[in-house]
Amino acid sequence: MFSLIEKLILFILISLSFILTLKWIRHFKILIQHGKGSLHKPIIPLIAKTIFLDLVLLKPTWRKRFITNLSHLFIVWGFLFYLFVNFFDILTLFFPNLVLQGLIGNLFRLFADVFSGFILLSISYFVLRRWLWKSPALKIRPEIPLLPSAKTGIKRDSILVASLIFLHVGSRLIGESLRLVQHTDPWQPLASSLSIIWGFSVFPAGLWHLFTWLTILTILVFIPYFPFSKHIHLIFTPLNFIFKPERKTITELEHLDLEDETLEIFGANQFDQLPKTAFLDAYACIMCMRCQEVCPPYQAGSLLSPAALEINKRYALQEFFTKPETLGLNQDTLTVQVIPEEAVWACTACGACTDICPVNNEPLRDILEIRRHLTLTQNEFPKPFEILYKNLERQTNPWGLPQKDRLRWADGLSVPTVEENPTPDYLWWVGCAGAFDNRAQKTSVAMAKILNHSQVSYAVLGELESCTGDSARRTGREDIFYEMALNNLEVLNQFPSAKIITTCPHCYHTLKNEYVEFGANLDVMHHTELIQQFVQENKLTLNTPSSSPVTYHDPCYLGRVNQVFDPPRETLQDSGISLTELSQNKANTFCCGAGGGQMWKENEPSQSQVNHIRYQQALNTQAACLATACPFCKTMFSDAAASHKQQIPVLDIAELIVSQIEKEPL
Amino acid sequence: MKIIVCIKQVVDITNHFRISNGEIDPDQSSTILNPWDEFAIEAALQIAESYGGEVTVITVGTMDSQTGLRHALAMGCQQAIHVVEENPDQLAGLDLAKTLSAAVYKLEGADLILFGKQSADFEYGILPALFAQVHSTLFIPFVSAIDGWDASNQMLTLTHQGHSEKQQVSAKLPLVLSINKDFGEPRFPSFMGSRKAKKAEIPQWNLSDLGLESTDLIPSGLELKAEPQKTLTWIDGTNPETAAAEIKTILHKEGLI
Ligand code: SF4
Ligand code: SF4
Repeated sequence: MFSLIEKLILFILISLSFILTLKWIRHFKILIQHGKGSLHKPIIPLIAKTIFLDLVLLKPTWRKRFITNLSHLFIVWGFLFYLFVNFFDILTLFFPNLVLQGLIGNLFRLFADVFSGFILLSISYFVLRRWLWKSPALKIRPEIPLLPSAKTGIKRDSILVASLIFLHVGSRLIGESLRLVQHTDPWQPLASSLSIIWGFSVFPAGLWHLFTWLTILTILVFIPYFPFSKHIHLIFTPLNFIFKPERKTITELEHLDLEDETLEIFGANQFDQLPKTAFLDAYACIMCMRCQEVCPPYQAGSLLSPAALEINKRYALQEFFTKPETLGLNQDTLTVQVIPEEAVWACTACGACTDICPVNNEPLRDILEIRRHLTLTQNEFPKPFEILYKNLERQTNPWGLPQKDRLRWADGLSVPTVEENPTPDYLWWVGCAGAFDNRAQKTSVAMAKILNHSQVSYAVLGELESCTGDSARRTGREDIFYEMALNNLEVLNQFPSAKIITTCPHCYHTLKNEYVEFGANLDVMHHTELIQQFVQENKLTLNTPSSSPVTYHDPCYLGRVNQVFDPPRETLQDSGISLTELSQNKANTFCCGAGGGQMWKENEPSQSQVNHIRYQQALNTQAACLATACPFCKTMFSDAAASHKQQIPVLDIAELIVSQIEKEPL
Repeated sequence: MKIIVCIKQVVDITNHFRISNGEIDPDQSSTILNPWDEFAIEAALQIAESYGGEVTVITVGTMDSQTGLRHALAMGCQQAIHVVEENPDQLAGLDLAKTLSAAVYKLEGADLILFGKQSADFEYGILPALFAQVHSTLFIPFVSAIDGWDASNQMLTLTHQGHSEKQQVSAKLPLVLSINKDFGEPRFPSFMGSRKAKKAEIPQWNLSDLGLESTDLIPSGLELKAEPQKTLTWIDGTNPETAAAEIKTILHKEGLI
């Protein structure tokens, strides 16, 4: 029903839109090529999984905000279906005889009609949520630096995109309804109802032309406008899943080759020092602020917001979008444009942001890349880390205590060393905290008693053990980590058949997942897993417990990062202790505040403290005891408890269990 | 300004160590760069930064001393010289001074030769003065600040800790200085610095390179003794008089009263 002139104009417009889109695709390519490394080669199973689970079912979004996700789901499905709708609509404009016939045609019209309704409803919800309810979930605290272009950009973009979707879908619906004024279509209930409302007796051709053009023009404007709006996430989210290799854990870091003598710049503090995946992240970000909502230092009122990091990255990159070749000339550092240094050092490396992000972004990875740059290339880091590094280099432990004293905690206990038992079934990696920290030593003593009681063959390394280097790595000193890893592996390789057990989730994680980079393949178990095994094998005889309930805090690196959720819970249950869960538990656990090197420095300025927030959450459960399974969590909560009116004991699972053992070993 | 800092690797007395056969057992001890020398290096670097110049570090010692030299390079010194001597603790102070002096000559002298106040293991603190004597250079001990530099007259104004109070003096280069703590915390070596230092070539000289014969040097005859084990005697305090008498006898026996 389009005239020849209209068809011609339409053809020209489609071509223009298409050419512009191709140009933008090229710009994206050039921008991303500024990043380091190479993108992962897409593999079919991952593509299939991404399309089905992440794109169609939006699986990663469902952990939070049900109503919002449902509305979003309708928009996504609507959008996917509208790809066909627009294609066929335009085809029929050129070739009016090409109409989908039969049941397929009917279903096609039905879905198009219904989805139009869903999209309009859902978009209304999002508009109300942003502008009427002014949902706080969409705000970033004003003191957190956002680029001026981001501040205005987010608003402008939201208005523009909402209007374009309204116009596009609304116009199509109206256009269809106008077509139906003389004969309604049972397969288009919505358009048919509207057509009756209009009350036209003849086909209003002029109006139909107007709305059809509006439908087409909006989509033709929309497509090339995409790269300037956050709605480009439509394209970049699937890419972000497909072009990233499956990470071993959410906290996996970029590999850094310290043997490469040609390297002069380590980590990243400029865009072209970031990995390519960080560029994908920026464009995939939907600015949903989920990451910020779960970020403990953000909640405590520090300057850190992982969302602000991604948003600033996005808008800083956008300045170069029309002239992408010039990105390399950008001399501004990431710590100036994207995230202030103070925020970089506030991160506890808890991984909650990366874990929750529905579009597979990895803010933590960027933060650690920036830390690497600051410590290695610029030699700028919080002063107290000097002591940490000195201690690690000189005494091979963060406490700086003599290596000779590593086994002092075991005085008076019978704890076999590898000299005494050179072929143990279990090689117990006590960890520096377990060896030197007063509170953690109590866990070590408890664990020793449990092991002795269970009568298994085990041994400790004593002076042969040194720090795994986790704190060095998370604060950016990859070189110290590297040295420690190589030394430790040399020791551990002497016991190839032993199962390693650790009483610290950070040791557990590092030995199990991070030494893999250096060729290690260690069989590592956390002590809560082993205790649970002992309970199941009836190696531990437990007393009838007291009835007071206990709450359990999942240490980030045991729970969220390594998915060990059940063994400590089952142990508590099996020993008859009643467990009351914290509101944020398992993968949603809230950091104790010690990770990412925070243990070794003062807090960055913030309104409250992460450990106090979490301790209060524990008190809210009404439990009589806060149990955990990490020496650092224990320290942080014990400190919080000490300055709190209401005090409940903070104990390791091992300590709780040892108090249940009938009689202590000789 | 050409600055040389003489440094030394010492036994880390904050760690466990063992003395056997009158010597420190190297297998049962660890060594560190003398912490006082770190202050001297810091001072040297600050002077070089303020007035221009290069800093060279020298040590006399075993291969172990290379750690200290590299630490100094990592802190920012430009050059390191290792005078290889298997048993530096066995050298009398005067001979150590002679050796260092010969090394400084070989480097064609210096404007400032800095020492840490003392070594953290033996704590004699005599080497800077001996060196100044041997090297015939003016010595100013316990320097805590550099206050000014007059390049045309080669005069340096500095503050040093006198007997009871701080004094400001001006003196013409060359000078030998011993440095106390007041220049501030020694800088922490950067990763980039350590990386460069790790790869740096450190020239190794032996006594004959310095025109010295080992027979020129007299061993110090130093013999280390481990402190006797402290013993605890329990005195029953129920009757104060007998307790007092008992204490008196013990003090007499030890020759303390
Ligand atoms: S890792 Fe944890 S602390 Fe760091 S930005 Fe992410 S959520 Fe925040
Ligand atoms: S990084 Fe992910 S979670 Fe955070 S705002 Fe962007 S899309 Fe949302």
